[in-house]
Amino acid sequence: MMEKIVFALITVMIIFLLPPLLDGISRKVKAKIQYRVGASIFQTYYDLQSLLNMEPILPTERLAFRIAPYIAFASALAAALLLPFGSFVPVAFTGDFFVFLYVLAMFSVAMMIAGFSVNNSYTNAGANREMMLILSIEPVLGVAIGVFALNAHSLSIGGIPLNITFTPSLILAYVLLAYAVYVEGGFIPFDIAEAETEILEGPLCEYSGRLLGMFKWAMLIKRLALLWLFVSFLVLPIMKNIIDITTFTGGLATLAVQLIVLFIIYSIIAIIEASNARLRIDQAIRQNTRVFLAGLVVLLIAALGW
Amino acid sequence: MGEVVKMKELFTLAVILYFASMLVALIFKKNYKLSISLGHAFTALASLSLLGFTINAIPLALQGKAIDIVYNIGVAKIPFHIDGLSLILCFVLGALGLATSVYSPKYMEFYEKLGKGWLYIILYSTFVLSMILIVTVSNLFWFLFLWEVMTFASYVLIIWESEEEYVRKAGWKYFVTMHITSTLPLVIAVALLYAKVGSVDGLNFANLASLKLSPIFYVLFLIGFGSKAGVVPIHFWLPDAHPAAPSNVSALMSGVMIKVAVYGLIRTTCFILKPDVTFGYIVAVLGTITLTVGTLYALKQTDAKRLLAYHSVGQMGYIWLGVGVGIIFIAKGGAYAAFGAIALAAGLFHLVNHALFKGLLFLSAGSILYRTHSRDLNSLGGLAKLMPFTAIFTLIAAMSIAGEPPFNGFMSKWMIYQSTFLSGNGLLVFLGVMALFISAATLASFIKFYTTAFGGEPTKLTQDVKEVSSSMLIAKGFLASLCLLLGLVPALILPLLLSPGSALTDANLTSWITTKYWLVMIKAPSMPLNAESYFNPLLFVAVFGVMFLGVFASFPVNKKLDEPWTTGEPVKMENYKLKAKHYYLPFEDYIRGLYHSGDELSKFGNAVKDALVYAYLSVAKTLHRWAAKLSGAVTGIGKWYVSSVKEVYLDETALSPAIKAIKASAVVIEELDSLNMLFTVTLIVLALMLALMLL
Repeated sequence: MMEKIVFALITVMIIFLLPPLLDGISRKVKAKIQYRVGASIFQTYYDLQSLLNMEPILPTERLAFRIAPYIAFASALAAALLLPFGSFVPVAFTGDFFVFLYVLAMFSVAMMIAGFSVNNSYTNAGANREMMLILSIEPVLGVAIGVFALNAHSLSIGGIPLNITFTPSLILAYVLLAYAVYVEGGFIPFDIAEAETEILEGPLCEYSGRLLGMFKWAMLIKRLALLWLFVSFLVLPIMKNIIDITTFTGGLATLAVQLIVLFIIYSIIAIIEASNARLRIDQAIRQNTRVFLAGLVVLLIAALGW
Repeated sequence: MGEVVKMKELFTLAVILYFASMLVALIFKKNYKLSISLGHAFTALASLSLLGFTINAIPLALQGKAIDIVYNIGVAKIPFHIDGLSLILCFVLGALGLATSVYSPKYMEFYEKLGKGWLYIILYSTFVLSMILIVTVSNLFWFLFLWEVMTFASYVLIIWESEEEYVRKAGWKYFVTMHITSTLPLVIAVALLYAKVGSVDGLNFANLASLKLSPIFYVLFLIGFGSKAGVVPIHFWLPDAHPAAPSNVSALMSGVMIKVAVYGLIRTTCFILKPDVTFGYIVAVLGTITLTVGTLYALKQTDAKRLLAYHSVGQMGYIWLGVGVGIIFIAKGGAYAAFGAIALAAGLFHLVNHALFKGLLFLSAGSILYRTHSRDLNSLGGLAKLMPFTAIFTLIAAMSIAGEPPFNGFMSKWMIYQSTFLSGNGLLVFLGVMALFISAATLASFIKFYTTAFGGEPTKLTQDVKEVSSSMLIAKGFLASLCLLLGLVPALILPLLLSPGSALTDANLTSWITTKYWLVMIKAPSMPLNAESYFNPLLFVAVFGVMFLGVFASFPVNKKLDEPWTTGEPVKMENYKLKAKHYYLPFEDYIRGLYHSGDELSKFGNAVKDALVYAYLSVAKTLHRWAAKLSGAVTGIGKWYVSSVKEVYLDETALSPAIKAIKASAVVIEELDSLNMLFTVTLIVLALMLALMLL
């Protein structure tokens, strides 16, 4: 019982408080690469704090616009709570990959409905791009899940990492999953929907104050959920051979490794972000389609049992 | 035993009430509103009694038993055999029938200038009743007869606004396509079977199931039912036909009629013929092609009802995919038999769900049409402010069809994903990947549908619009709550959905699927321990709700309003929003090659259809002459049949034989009898021709 409480506390800290810090670190890394001093790694906390204290001004009476940030926040949280922290899953209302994806997708759904519900071409354009980006990346994600399912005979987020056997197609599936996670996370060059310097942050353009703060925080939690999923897929299969992850110490050790890998991956992402420019939406669609076609080859290899 | 008798009475009561509604409509034929309201009062009661029957009969079906009823109509005895599969469709017909009956009286005021309310009620009742009887009757001859009644009634309902040219064209396309691609293969199948068994009684399902039948029947049933279901490549009639009808009828056509075709497919190819692996693959692959083509075409539609109709094609693909995978694994048997039963249940679950949310969507599109006289998504806008309840119900339906948890569409799609991704078969996994992709396309399309009609600020067209009347809202609210209920507690219906699969396999399903009120858990063969797929929708909603309310309470906002920011440009607000036609243009442009090949395919399909029309017309004329010579029993219906084949426009005189047929029971028997003779003659002639060909 005590052990569960410890894990629950750590998990809550990771889900709520870690994402702004990760963003701060990422900003610092980018600043260093670009020979800037950059803001403090706590800057994102300060940003969120000041936003959350401000009254928003609404551009429309539509209820959808007003509640979208809360929906987005709740869906990012709900999705994050499904993931394994060590061997601890905070709220296991499902163990299933698809439920995770669809719950997380509610973030985008809320953002798009809100973006389309305002008479503003910038928010509309942003929502439009978000949808097309999802359309083009969904098949890639599907192929990755398909290879994992063929390999592990399971669709369970906790079950897949513990039951995979390493084959060439599986390693390629990891690559596909990493790519899909990166695109879904909206990192540069795929920050097409929220293109800040181009269409004024797209769907978020009309948001201000508290509501904008909610959305930004939710976005960071969504990124954490996506990356944590990938990190778990990387760490759990290795850790299960080293230590019994169901014990308290084993769980803690696994969680520590997950955190370390998360920091490493976030820094790598910052480097990729700093050295890339945003793609146009048609370029992104084309590139994602190419990845999908390559993914089909991977699926074929997996179907043949390699 | 007593209970079974009571249940039979409920079923019969529903049938009688449908006939009563026609009678009532005839009695008050002078008064448009009265005939429709009273008629629909009876159809609502009939739907209630059908629902009552269904709920009462479910426990029997779960024990693997069925209810047998025989109606003696003098000239013939019509047998009915109602098992789990039939009850699934009875539930859909009852629920959607109830919703449209409550919705229609007010909605049909829209069509008051066309008059003939009594005729509408007669056709409506005939249409729904024929479907109820199709899914319960247990003789292939009567099945085919009722199938024709359904096609005919739906045709006349489609051309209700027949002064509009596009409506007449759509109706004609529907009528001809159905006769060539649906009725004809089924008539050939029945004729071949008739030649084998030698009597109408021999066409009983139980008797047919005991025969050894050739694989040709799979092909005939696939074409016959596939075209009615709108499966690619014979889907081109559907996006024209469904939107042409009044919205309440569109709801029934997209909600139930195409599902009756799925019923027919399963009934004939799984229960009469044996489940077959190759056939299963064909159904699953056709389903995947259909869901891809239908939905990607839907993505670029800007006409509300046409968009919905294209999605009917797309969602039908999901149903076929589930059913196809089910057939594959049921046929394989062994360790995978239970997995097949679950896949079949997934397809049937989507069938039920699609009926509910697509019915609701058509009723919503009807409400918009009723108030704004427009279904053009480019000119609508801001309706959420003016029609708040319709907006909420539409959003529920849109999220259901897009497969967002916790709505019903998610549960059935989730089960379809399970049955494809866990199949251990590369091809089926690929089909699952396509289903996942198209689910995103469905989401895109319905975000467009919702936000163009309901989002933004009211436009010139919509600024004076009011919410629709309470009866229309009740009907939609009923369907919306069913969408939510079946998503939250799928266990309410899953046991019934699993019953056809368990009837087809000997496998014990309880060790493979757990359906509790709070949990659905699925296991697949060779799945490792503790790696099962499970989902607890109620817990999800609780967690989500607590967090939503938590942040909502922690970070409240005041309603401080201001104009959207135009970066200083003097833009008029109505020009500052994306129109429906502008949505997703780069993506549509990217897949234009697919659209192009789809168009070519449609052209090809149309050309084949036209060629067949020509052949069909000559055959029909020859046959008709033969029939006249043989029996001299050519009645008005026969004449009408040939004359209407030439005429696109159907006026009241042309309809009169059909109306006469229903006017009085004496006439009914007389007309049915002559129709029977004509029919029988046709069957025998066809059977002889084909027997000669085969020899």
